[in-house]
Amino acid sequence: MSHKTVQQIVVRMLYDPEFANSVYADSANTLKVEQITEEQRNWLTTSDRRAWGTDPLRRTRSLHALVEEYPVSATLAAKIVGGLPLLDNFFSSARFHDSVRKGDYLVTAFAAWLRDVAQNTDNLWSRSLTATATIEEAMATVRRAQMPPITHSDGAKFRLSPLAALVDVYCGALQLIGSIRTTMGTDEAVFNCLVSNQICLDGISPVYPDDTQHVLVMRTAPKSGNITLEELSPELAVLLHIAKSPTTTDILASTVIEMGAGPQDALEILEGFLEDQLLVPCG
Amino acid sequence: MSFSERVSQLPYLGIGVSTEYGAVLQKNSLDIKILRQSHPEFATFLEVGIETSKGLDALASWWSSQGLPTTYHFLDVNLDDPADYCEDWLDLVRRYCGLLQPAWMCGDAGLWHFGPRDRNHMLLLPPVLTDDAAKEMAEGIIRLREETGLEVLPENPPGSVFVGDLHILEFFARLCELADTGILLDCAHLAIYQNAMGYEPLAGFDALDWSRVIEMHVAGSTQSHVGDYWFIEDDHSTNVLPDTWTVFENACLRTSQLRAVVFECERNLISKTLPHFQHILTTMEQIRTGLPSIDAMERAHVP
Repeated sequence: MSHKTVQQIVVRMLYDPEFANSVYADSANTLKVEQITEEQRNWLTTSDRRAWGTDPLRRTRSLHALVEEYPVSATLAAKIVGGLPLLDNFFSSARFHDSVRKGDYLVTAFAAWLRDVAQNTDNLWSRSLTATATIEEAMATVRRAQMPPITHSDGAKFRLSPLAALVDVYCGALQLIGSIRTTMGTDEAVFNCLVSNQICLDGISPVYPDDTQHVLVMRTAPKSGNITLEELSPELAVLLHIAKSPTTTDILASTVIEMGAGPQDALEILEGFLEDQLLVPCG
Repeated sequence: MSFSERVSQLPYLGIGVSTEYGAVLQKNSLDIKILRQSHPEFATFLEVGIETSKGLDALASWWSSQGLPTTYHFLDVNLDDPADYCEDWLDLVRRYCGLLQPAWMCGDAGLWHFGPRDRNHMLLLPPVLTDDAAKEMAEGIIRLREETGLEVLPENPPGSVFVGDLHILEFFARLCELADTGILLDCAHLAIYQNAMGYEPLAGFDALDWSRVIEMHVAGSTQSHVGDYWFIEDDHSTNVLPDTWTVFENACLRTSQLRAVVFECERNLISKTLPHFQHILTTMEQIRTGLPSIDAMERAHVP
């Protein structure tokens, strides 16, 4: 398997010239945590160092693709750090390198990195970035979710659909996303604004960190790319949080009844969730 | 049945062109329908590059609807990654094979994506050139052949950096032996590799079992530079480098089972491509009508 480790290091060197420099300067130290042999380490520095930089737009292309999935968060992050070029630093971050090493999705690592940016800055928009990155990460997750085959059986348990995600964020995040999307326009327009560093957030309100907003992110159908965002009541959010793990209808119905619904209403509510495929059977 | 027995069932396709989703919509793209009409001998088959998440475009759909010959060139599978052979992907591959009825599958045997198969992870890198990597890749080729019922021909990929202890032709010789399959030799990619490694154009030729070469690619390349570093870019222009022709012509002399040659020129006007098609045709006809012995050729090129 170590050739796959070598391949991952190759990818990291192609994306991150600082990392490549470090490998060339001291491969033993730079790659000391990697399970590769000295011979394999030596292969990485055999080529002319400059050969690793023949695709100078590699990071830009990848960043463009990430911005398409995080248009609002990228806008806020660019506003905070001072422009798109600094977002390019993601590809030199530990989040990026860990993601490649572990074989994780870059979209997930990018969300974590955006939250790092928010956490490490004291800015009017920092908490907003934390919130929007969480929502857009949930969108990226449900966009990639696979719907398992649905099986029906008596006494089956149910769970929140893989096509849905529930996130708790700072209040006002949903409205903020809507406002920025309206202001910035299409994904391509967002990228162009970021490239030209023309980010105008006049008239847009940041989130209110003293309160929580429960947001349901849902792909409308397994074959669809359409994703809806909906603010949930605290009661419904409690119910769906329970349904994140496989749960019986009895427990779900009891929860609805505890919130004040009658037994018949509780069943109808759950049947509605099943019909909408917000809840799915899971054996 | 071994590959040496199976190979007789592979059809002779002649000279073809390649495409991938949306390529014909790009500015100055090759008009393949017109080429097929005006010079059918240069477009006897279509090599369809397929990323399953994108599918077939209008040209590929039209071509297959006419019942014309195709090959399936994958663009989204790391042959050595068992996770890539998930049922969702295989279902799509079988579906497109059903539509195209390709003569075989082929594609660059390299890294098409790092981590999961995802639109943010797509690239193309050469494999790590080691025996271990060849073994794992061979297992994938056998699996894909069994899943599709088609021959799967690995192609030597392009690259700017190559790592490992094998020459790329040694790697592909090993890979094809382990998978008991044929090879798609990309002459431009090989010329790029030899240049990047500082080798002569025909270095490593003796490593390959040439009876396994079923298909070849020819393509233009451009000398590019980043700063003061010069390299060859595989840009599919009509600037076919002399080293690429050297590889192609000498490879032709050694093959015994060659079935198809693609001139990769999807972003060029027909008029600029014709001399290259003609050169390919002439070279192939020389082979089919009686080869000059390899000893008669200028072996001075061979290290």
